[in-house]
Amino acid sequence: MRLTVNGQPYDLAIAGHESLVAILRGRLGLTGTKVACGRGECGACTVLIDGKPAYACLTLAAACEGAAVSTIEGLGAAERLHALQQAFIAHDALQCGFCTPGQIMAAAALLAQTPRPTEAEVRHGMSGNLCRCGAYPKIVRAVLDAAQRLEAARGA
Amino acid sequence: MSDERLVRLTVNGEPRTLAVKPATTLVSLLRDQLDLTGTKRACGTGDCGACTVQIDGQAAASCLTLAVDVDGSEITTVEGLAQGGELHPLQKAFVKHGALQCGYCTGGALMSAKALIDGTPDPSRDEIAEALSGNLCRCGTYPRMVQAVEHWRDFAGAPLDTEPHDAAERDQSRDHRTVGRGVPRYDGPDKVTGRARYTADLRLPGTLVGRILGSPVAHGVVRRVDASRARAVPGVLAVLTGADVPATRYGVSPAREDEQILATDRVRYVGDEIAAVAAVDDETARRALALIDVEIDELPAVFDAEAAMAPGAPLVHPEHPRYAGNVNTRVDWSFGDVDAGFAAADLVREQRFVGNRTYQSPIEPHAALAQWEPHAGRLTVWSSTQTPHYLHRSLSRTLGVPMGQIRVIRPPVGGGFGAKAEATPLEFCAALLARATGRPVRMEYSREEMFRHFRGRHKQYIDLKIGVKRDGTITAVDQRVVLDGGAYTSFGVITAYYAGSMLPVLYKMPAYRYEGRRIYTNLPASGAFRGHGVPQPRFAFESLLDMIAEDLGLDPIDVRLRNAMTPDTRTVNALDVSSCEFTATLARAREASGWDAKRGRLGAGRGIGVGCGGFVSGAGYPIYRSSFPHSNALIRVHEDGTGVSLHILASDIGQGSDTVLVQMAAEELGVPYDWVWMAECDTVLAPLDLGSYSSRVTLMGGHAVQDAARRVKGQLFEVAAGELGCAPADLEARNARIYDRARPDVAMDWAAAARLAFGKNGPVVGLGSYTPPADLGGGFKGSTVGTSPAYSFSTVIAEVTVDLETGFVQVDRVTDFSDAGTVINPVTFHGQVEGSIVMGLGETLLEDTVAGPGGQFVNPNLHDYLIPTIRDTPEIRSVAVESYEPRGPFGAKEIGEGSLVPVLGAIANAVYDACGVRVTELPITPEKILAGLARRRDRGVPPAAASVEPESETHAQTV
Amino acid sequence: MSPFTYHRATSTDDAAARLAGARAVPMGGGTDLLVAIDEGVVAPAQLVDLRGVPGADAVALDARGALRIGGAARVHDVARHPAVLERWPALAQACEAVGSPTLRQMGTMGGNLCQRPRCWYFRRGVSCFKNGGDECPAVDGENQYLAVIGGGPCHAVHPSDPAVALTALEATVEITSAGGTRTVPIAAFFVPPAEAPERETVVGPGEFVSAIGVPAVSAGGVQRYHKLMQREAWDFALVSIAAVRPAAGGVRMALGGVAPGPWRVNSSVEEDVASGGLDDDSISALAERALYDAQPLSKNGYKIEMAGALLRQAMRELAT
Repeated sequence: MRLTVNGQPYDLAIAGHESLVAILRGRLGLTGTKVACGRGECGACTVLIDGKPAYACLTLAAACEGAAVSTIEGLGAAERLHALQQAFIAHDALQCGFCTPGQIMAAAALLAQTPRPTEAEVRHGMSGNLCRCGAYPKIVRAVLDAAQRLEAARGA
Repeated sequence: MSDERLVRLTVNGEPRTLAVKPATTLVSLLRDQLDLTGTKRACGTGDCGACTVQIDGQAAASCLTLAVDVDGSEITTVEGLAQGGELHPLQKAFVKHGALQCGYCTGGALMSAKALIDGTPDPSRDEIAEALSGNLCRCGTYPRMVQAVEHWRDFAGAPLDTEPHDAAERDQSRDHRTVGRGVPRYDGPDKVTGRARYTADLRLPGTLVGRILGSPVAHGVVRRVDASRARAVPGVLAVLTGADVPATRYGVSPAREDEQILATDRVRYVGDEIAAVAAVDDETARRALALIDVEIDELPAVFDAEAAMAPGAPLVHPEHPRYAGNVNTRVDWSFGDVDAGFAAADLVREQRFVGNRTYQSPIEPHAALAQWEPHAGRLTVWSSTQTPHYLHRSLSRTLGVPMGQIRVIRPPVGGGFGAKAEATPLEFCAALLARATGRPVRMEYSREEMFRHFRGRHKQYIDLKIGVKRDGTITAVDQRVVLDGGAYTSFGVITAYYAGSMLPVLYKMPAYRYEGRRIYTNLPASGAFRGHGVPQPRFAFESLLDMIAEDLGLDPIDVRLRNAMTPDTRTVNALDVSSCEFTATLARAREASGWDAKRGRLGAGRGIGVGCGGFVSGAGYPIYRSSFPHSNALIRVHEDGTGVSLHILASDIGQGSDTVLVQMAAEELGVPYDWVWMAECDTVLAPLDLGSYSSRVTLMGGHAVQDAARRVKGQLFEVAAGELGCAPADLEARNARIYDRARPDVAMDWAAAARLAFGKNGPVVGLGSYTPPADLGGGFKGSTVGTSPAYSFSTVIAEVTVDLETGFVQVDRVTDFSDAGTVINPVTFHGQVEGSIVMGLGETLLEDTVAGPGGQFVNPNLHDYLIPTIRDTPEIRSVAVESYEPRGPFGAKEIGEGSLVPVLGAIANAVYDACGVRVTELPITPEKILAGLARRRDRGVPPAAASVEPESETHAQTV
Repeated sequence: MSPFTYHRATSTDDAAARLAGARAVPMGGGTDLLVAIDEGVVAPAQLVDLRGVPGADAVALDARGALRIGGAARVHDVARHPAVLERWPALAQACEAVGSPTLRQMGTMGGNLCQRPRCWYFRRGVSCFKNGGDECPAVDGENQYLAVIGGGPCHAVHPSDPAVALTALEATVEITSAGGTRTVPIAAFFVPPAEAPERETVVGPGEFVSAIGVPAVSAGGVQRYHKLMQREAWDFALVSIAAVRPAAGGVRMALGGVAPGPWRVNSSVEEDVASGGLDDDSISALAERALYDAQPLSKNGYKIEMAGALLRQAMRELAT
């Protein structure tokens, strides 16, 4: 089947029971997407499927045929980080970093749907991603800041 | 999918069924689908031989072979030569004869040779030359290849040592300013791009997947383990049971090494390790585990510490008389005249508190990857460990391999909080499976296995008694703690001491008695969790202090100020407090939070509470006795002088220690932050450091880095002084320049000085080390635990809303003032405080592991075990009360653990202020608040009255 | 996860035909199903993905003002649908209370109704009524999250939030198989454990939820869904309530988290609330009447208090 990840099509033989995260990490070497619970209970494996957030551990790869999958590796450009990534660094919205790719992808989905979120909307929209280091306050600030920068960039 | 077809192959003896396209070449299938990268792609046209494999015994160029055409064939690749961890004689011959240099063609050459000797075991030189004529070697090792193949039989059964094969060669071989600034986290870009490679992300060619079989019962004697059905599963390469592994017992505490890699006689908790499997993939490994037949005679088990102390309770470690009554650790301390202290008190209050069994649950599951190089007998282990040195030592002692033959590498670690501070069965089993199979083995815990392995917080039963004068002055404290240790010791000896040793650090007390009992039960072992042993006793103390303040009609902050620790003080238990701004944290938090206007005046259902805490800045003594410095660092100046690398075995597990160490290096050297590279955390590259536990890296690692940097600077000053015409002592380095302190225009570029030094003396390298001061504690048994060069102090004020109908608690706002000495990086400092508050909130309100009737956790996942989400996070105000710690590098102390300690008491006290219910058993659930409210109603106290007339409640409700 | 094959259905007929096969199981977002497979609770030979069926995710009003929600509609899309927000806000709120933002965008409405209970014993393979055993280990064990009313012999609680709102809204569920389509009222959709403890709904082998209908008569008025969670995301309800006083009149209340399925409050209580003129005392008395049959297990008595609190809060809101 054909799987399109970060704009790159891959032709893969995939068994029905294989999860998207297993394919991303094991077959495509895209290890930015993390496995932390395997049951949709933490958000570390959050990716975008046709622009919507999904837990890649609870997504069958076979169900993604024809869909566009985006992972943390597809965010931003080689030379220039995405505004969310810049904001996460600037606000130090991470400690151990293991949940960070999922946080950033969830934030990307949130900002795609709600470009100018309130703080309450950020807290609500980011509530599907656990951070055991407790970087939450900084994550909220980073997402709000990135939203502003993206808005400003669009306006410019 | 339509044009693909299935092919069935046997590759290196393993059956494989794969979907392939008609155009897929065999080399692609091997490398890309099977990860067998020993077969090289060097030309793609059949002209070089680097891709040579055996197809049904015949040598063939795999780049010119279509995968669909080898359906039903048997393929052997270079990875298939070694058997059972033993190199093929041909391989040994190649090594001994030096028949390789860069090594890229070697696999193909070996396969051509193998095809030859399979049919012609004693080939002539001509036959060898003919067989290898399709294998190009640009390094030109041809003559040695021929010799090697000619003499391959000599190496059958021979060991592969490092002695040169040829006697003549043996004879020839005798030659033998950034500190204080919130610079961006060093590893930030790697982590936001997903480039950071954690242990489970690493790929080595031919890696197998390992899994562990745990005991299904909580207590029993293992009668029989039969792995024959599992071994017969195609794709299973090794199954190890207790009989196949070293019987050495291991553990954190040298005096109580009570764990086995795999059980030989007895299992003591659900999940206790029985067998380990290595297979080609995870699915096969899991299938094999299910086919291991285990017979266990089940024994009565005990799942509660107090029940385990009762006469006649099942014994968890009956083999040792010292553990009679299931007592693993016994602490009996008495300081000052305790009885006289209580006799002198105007009020003595006693209360029982019960803690929860919380789990660190870092987001990254534990992972290990091991590679055993059979020819060298060397082991390399990549691990998600907080303590590479202790892991290194444990591997050596347990496997019986000298430390010099083991290399430990720590990739980025996705959180630990104490859960990854000790060696785990993963590392032992991965190493042993790698040895058994001759292939790298990767192992990861599932989330459930993480909970089973545990090493989380000890559930503590605390009986606390405090005596005070009418003005709140403490006259005596008596604390008895029973700690539920689970089935093994882990860090528990130290936990039992910490639970007692840290109480007198925060408040002065003339007399103190502590009785600690750590008890074995048939639950997973408890270990060291952020704030090690301290948060629950501190929760008890802060709660009881508020109850006493209420009894006396005093303000809780006033009571704390009256007893607060002061700088340069020896505590009643002989701990040496150096810098201390505790009273400043109290006073400033009181003012910033609006405490005086809010306390008792927020109305029904809203409350404010205070809690205090702190922790050691690194343990004064290592876990095992040694004379080694605790931290050591190496700094090497890059030869053109524009870069510096820092080598240290400290472990950034997310706390940002790499960042602050790099900052301190840059500061002391006088170069920009971005000149400094943090070298990989690897025992081959960096000298010993004890790792990340006891909140030690900033102070201890920082000292070692500063020391190393000074020594580098000294070498540069030596050459610069000659160049500038002044004395080295006159010089200073800053902003990448070296100049005369008195005449700043007499200066030169730092890089130019570095080049001069290199040209004159060779590589510029500085070594630094740190050993804590001696005599930090008393001389009594256990007096070392709690010693530290410096202590942090924090005050937390929590504001909460309690729904009086449903019992739900919402934490609205938290104010934190912390004395952590000089803050090296304010950004990461506040990140630690905020993370501690979030984690502390979870421990106070949400988290508890629940063991079912058979002793297995029934909520071992991230859905049922409630760790806080972003929506549970309150508004947080974090402020650093700066002080200067004379024993810290640049005046710094710890922040990462001490900041969690005050949170539990602050929230509990705020809940009481909001609704008049004193919950003394963690976590504080709506259920417990409802029960407390109901009891108040039964006694005729309307909940709305609770926070306006608390003084009348001399004996508050306890739940 | 044990191997299975995957088929993306191309039409309702295709789905029905595939599901007629042995051990074929319908799949929506997979957010519960894949976990259940991993836990060994479900062992399919084939998954039939319903999300690709054209129109299966539609949310639309018909000419008479009734709402039809396709079985494959995402929970998030129902929560944010303008007509649902305007006319059936209790349903929108219930959908917004599900799981996490990502789970809501992955999960389907049909899948939400058909998810399996999360009783610790059932999901961890301890022998119980749901997995072929003949006892409920929770009765003497960890039952703090289980049913206080309507339970027995199994006491597991169905975790769906939308089902509670749909119960108060008197919705219908359309069930399709190769044999055709049938429609059942939501009150008959969940099977009491006394009848069949091994399953939760009337959906049988080969069947799948193809649509949910919400009648026009339930629209408007005062509606709310309130959910008590220990943690602010992911949690299932300790107790939840859907309370509606539609524009067309009447009062309907349903509780979640307290019973094996959504628990519709006794009609005599609903009628007394509808008749109005309530004060604090009569509200408390009505709440007690609504929970008269509640019988807690050893560790879940607090749920009765919480349910009482939610009932009182809801009645006060509906009365104003």
